[in-house]
Amino acid sequence: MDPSDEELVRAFSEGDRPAFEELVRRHERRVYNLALRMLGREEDARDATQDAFLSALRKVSSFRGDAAFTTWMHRVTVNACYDMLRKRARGPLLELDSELPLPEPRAAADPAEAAVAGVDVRRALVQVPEEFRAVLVLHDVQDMAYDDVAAVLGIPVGTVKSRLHRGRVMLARALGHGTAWEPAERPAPSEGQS
Amino acid sequence: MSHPEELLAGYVEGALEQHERAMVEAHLVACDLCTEEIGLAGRARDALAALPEETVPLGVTGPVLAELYGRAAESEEPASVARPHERRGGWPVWAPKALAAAAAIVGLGLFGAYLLPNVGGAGDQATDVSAAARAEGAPAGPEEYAAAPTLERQNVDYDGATLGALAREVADDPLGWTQRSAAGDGSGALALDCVRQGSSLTEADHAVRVIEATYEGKGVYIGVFLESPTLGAPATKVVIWIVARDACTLVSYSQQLIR
Repeated sequence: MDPSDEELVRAFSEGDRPAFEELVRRHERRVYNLALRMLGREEDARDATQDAFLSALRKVSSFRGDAAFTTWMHRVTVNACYDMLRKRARGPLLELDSELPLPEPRAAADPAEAAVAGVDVRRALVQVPEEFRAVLVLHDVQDMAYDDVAAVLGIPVGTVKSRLHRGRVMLARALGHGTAWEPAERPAPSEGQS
Repeated sequence: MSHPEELLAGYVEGALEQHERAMVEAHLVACDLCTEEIGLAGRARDALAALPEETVPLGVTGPVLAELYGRAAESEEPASVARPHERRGGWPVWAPKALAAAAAIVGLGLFGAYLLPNVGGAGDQATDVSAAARAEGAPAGPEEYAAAPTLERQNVDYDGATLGALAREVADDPLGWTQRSAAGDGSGALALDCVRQGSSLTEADHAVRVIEATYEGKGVYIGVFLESPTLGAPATKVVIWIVARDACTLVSYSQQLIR
């Protein structure tokens, strides 16, 4: 049977370097896709993925095993994305919009339609404020449970749920559904004790 | 009016307890805003679920592995540390793996042992693959060079993009490259040893090309390997290891799935 992530971390901390490489191989796809959805651009996602794994490599000795490695790795990745967002300190979102490359279409019932819909969603997603976007990506794209999202982001579960709903509504409006998105139309929901 | 913010996400997912759902439905009767939002949130959720999972581009984690193994090379670790480039008795510790790789070729049914090149300089004995495969646990020896391909000297300065093209070229015809490497003259043996020193290859990685070129201006050896999920199974991935020619340290790493 394959060793668990936690066993690989232990092996690595005892000097088995290929164990860390195995962790990279196991997690690179989720890490890259999380970064891609958070950042919108492939180039940034590549950098954030690298930063996340380099950061994990340097900090893995601080991983105590009291959370799942996946949760810890997602937290490291989200932080790398936030760093990237701060670093790039871009101009208006519309500019970013026009820079977004077309995603490569994947197998779908109607590939052309799926590609068009995909790029719309990617463009709309980067318009959702990042603290809402993170919840959307972790829960709705990466299928993480509320508890795990809360652990990754260090916020209460109730906050995850309310941000998830708010974020979905913002995304739908950015996609052109319903009335135009006006963030001030309703007072921000209670954020709990984060 | 206060809105049941924390329940609406669960309502859209159909994940609420019955009493919670009843509470939301009672609220929706009187709240047009939440009713509209429920519809919007459902669409957004569907749109996100339909986003395809993208493949990790070639070479993204190369610098991570370079740091991982670069550190290994620089630091003095206790003797118990498993270091892929450690040598014993003048031969790398890869020999059992190389024997297994040779066995994998037989397992693939592609060639008989007679096709494997007899490598000068790295051991002149005839390469009896089946005997080698039986000799599991035998001391490390020159058998591992048995399947070294011909060294390709290229006047090319590789970068991420051209490396991607190289990986795809091999991924498009894994069997053809396997055959060509088996018919090679073995001149890639020393370069291959250098690549192995800087990498963390496993028994499921089989060398098909060894190239001398530059990578972003630096003199390198490029090893192209076919990787199988298990020994003897068809290759599913092309992995490329690039090491510095002078020190055999890892410069970059890439991979490409075989479709």
